[in-house]
Amino acid sequence: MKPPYLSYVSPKTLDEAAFLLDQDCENSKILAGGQSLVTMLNMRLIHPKILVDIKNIKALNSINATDEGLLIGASVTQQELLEYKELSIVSPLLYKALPWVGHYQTRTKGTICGSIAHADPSSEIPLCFALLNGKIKLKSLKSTREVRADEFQTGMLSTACKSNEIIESVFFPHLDSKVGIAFNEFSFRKGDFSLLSVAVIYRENSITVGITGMTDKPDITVFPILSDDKIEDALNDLAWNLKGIGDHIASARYKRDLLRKIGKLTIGEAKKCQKF
Amino acid sequence: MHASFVRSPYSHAKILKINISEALKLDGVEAVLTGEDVIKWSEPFVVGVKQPMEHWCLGVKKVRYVGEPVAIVIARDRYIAEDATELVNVEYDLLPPVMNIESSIKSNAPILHEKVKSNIVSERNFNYGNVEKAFSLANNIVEIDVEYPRNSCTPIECFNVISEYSDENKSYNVLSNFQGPMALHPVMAMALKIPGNKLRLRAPQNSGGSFGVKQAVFYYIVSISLASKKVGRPVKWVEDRLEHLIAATSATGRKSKISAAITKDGLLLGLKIIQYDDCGAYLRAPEPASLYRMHGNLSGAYSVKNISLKNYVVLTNKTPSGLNRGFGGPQLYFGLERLMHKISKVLNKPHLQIIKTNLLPQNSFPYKTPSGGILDSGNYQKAIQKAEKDGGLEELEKRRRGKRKVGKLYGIGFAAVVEPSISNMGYISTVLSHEERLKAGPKNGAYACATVSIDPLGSISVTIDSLPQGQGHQTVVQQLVASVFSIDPKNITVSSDLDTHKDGWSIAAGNYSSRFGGAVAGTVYLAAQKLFLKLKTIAAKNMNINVEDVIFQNDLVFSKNNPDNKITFSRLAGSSHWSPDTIPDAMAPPLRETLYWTMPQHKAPNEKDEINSSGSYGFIFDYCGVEIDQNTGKVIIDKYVTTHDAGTLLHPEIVNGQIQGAFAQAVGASLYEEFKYADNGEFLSGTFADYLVPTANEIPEACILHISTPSPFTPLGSKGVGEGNSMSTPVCIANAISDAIEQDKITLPMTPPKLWGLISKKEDLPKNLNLEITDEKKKISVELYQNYTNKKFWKYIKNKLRNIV
Repeated sequence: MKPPYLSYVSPKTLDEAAFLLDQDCENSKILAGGQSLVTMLNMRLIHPKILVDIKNIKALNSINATDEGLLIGASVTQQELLEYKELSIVSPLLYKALPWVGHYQTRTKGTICGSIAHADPSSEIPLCFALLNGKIKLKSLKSTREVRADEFQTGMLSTACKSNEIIESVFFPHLDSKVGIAFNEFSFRKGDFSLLSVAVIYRENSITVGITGMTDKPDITVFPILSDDKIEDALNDLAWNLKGIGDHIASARYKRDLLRKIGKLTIGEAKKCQKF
Repeated sequence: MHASFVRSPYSHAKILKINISEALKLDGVEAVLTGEDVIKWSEPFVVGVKQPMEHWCLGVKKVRYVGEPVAIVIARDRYIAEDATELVNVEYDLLPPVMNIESSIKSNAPILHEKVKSNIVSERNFNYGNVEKAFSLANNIVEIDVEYPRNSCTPIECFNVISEYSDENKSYNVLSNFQGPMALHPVMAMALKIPGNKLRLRAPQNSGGSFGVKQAVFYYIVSISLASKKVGRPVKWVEDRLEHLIAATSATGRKSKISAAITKDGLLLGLKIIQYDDCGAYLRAPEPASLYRMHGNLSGAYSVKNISLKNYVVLTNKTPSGLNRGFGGPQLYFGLERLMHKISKVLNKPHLQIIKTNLLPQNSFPYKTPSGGILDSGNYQKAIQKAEKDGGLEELEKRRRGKRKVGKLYGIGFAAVVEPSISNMGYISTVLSHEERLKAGPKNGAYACATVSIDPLGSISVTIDSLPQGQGHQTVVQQLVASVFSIDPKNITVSSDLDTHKDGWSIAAGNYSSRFGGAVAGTVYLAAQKLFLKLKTIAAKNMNINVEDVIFQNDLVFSKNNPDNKITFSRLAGSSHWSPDTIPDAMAPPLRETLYWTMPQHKAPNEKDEINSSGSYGFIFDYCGVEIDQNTGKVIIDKYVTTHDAGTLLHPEIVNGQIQGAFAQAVGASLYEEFKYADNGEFLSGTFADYLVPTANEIPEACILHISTPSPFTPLGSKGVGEGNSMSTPVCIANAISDAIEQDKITLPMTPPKLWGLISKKEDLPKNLNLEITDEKKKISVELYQNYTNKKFWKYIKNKLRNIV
């Protein structure tokens, strides 16, 4: 469990990082919290030649609440955001979702942007990002561009981020304060990768349901306001639509049942806290 | 130099060729040890049954489990060693694997060890009393088939070995976090083809947990020693977690069938037990001990007289099994206590009533079991009474009624088990027939060794042979010795490291079979007492008083009749160093006492195959309430009560720590942990993301109760306590689940999806109502996801990332 030989650089500015990455971007990896990358290095699942550590870039360690939403720099850890004093008001979804992300110890290292960049199909932060249809800012040596969430994650562990680009920040838009929000997930143990996560935004005329664990990336479905019976039917159809895949841990049938049960529970919770 | 292992990715294959030339070219690589060296310099390990099996310290000609080492790269540092490991090219010819007991015992099964001609490497029948008669007299016969999974207690620190070969002396000097039993020292020396005194083995004072698991490091001590011989320099190997999970060791998996002949009241007349143990790819010493450690207490806490037993030792293409907390107990009691629960269901009587009907009567101790165990002491009725009252059983039953009334799935489970400790080293020979045993010579006993010595300043040092790995033996010994001499515990140091060249030990030394409380602490006490009596005699002479008038108190020694006639303890204790004159004639100086202790009750197995497999036997009575989450199938332990009789408690806080610890690991075994393999032999539990160990979030606090019936056989009346809940808790939880869902076929670990499979109704079909507002933005790549299964997960990532990088 020792990584292969590699070089490590720790730039102090984003421009410097973009420059270093540009030298040999195909053989470089950005290191932020390292909660997935270092494991993969030690297991020798990847063999990059250069690690560009962005943790020491001060400009990336900021959380800004604007009128439109929440802007989070690339080196902000999950725990830093969770402890951001007005998070429950500024972003009730992230406030409810973040405690499900790993454990306190991993959250103090793992970053918000790192989780979105890694794009694990069962991760909570990419689910929130997709559900809110946020934006991500990508910086390369010569340019900067923004990508919307629905175009960012392209599949399991793959995103629109090019090898010469660094995620600079992520933007989560605000929601109407009247909407109802709920987040639930199921895993065998607290803090594990979830078997299924469900996030719900209950609006005046619609219910948006985000799900991970059934497909290769967060799945977002919008329903009209439905009666309880119809919600069950809708979730049953959604479960069949997404199918789920059985493995040695859980059958596809089990995952569909989780979606039905936890989906209903979560929509119910979101409905309770909407204020229309 | 640092070692890194090349391991087999296949569960069953012939080794055609090992090409090491590319690895040797890498700068910093010194050598690569392969099967050729191993055949030249060592012997296969001896095995406990008479079979032509060869278990070398590396896979030779064949590999028989995923993770089996086939070569060792020795390099300047571990990084380079691991780089070179990727360059060793091994060509395999794949063979079909056998991955479970059923397929292994089929007549046409692929054979692991061709010379044995079968995968069943031992088969023994035992008969005690008259079982057939008991079954003919029965009102009812109840049968149960059960399986116990393979798992492990996964210590936080993995294996470590540093070995240094001396060409001059043809000897090996090894430092390793080996936990014993030291019976494996001769096994290692024989494998290395050297006399015992050429293998100096040292184990450190501290080690990060073991739970039996670090017994298995002996296998690597031999291969790393050969690596040192290969390069002529010391070689160090630190096992990493991936290696540990895939190939360190595993608890034995078991499949058993038990039939009970019972009266209409549920009284047991006879038991027929058939046990198949899955020992993995090699029968590694001390296996098949899992099958025989419980032999003397086969009938648990019950007074059944007639027992027949068939034992089979079966090999499969999995990691060899070995010691693991509970060792044989979880497997035995899972069958026996599930059976008692089933009897209660068949007779429609309360489970606890069936247990009470069959308990050994009070005042029947010491009790000789049909299979030869001598249960030293106990009062099972009193323990159960205490558990019912102080644990709140009535309240729990009320809670179950309330929960069920509102449609919840709630169950209560019970388990009553006998917890053996201080293994009789002879029990393993029960696997041999009486004739074979006569030929091999008797094996029995279990010497514990302790040394207590005094230095010139009168402080005391104690050396013990129990190789503790975090259980606090040092603390208990310190307090025990302090109380003997009435001195401050700060003046006592305890050494628990071991050096085979300098310390007292026997084959029984080590950290296993919960031998500390009964055997080791007792031996320390006896050695300290011996020294104490000498000091008392010297004090009497020098203070000119009678021996019985000498008082030791708070670091002082004085006369009962005249407290002013006194001397400090340190002065008295140091006197043998400074003034031998003060010692009475003919007395050996009170400088150092080394004492060996074993028990006369530890006899070798006799011609009737009776064996007192352990030295003392505690009792545990557990019950629990569990609720099943009807959304997910998750088992929630609502309440857990565990009542112990471990004889005299030497240190109540440490005892409770042991109980809570064993309980925690048993919760893992019950609900989370299993070494899983696919049918093709692929290992599915290779990381802690796949092999789930419960955390503080998942483990409730158990309500712990005690009664005490001191053992008449151990010096302090104490018994082992460290493994009990590993034996009682899995079956107690299984019984509660069975009670909650009213089903019989309970297998562990009972994960949520598994339980869901037992309780879920028919799945609703899709109605295709198209209730979504729009799905135009939804680009689900379901096809891509079809590739995503956990077992292929890392492979998938690897390919994916290679493409990206």
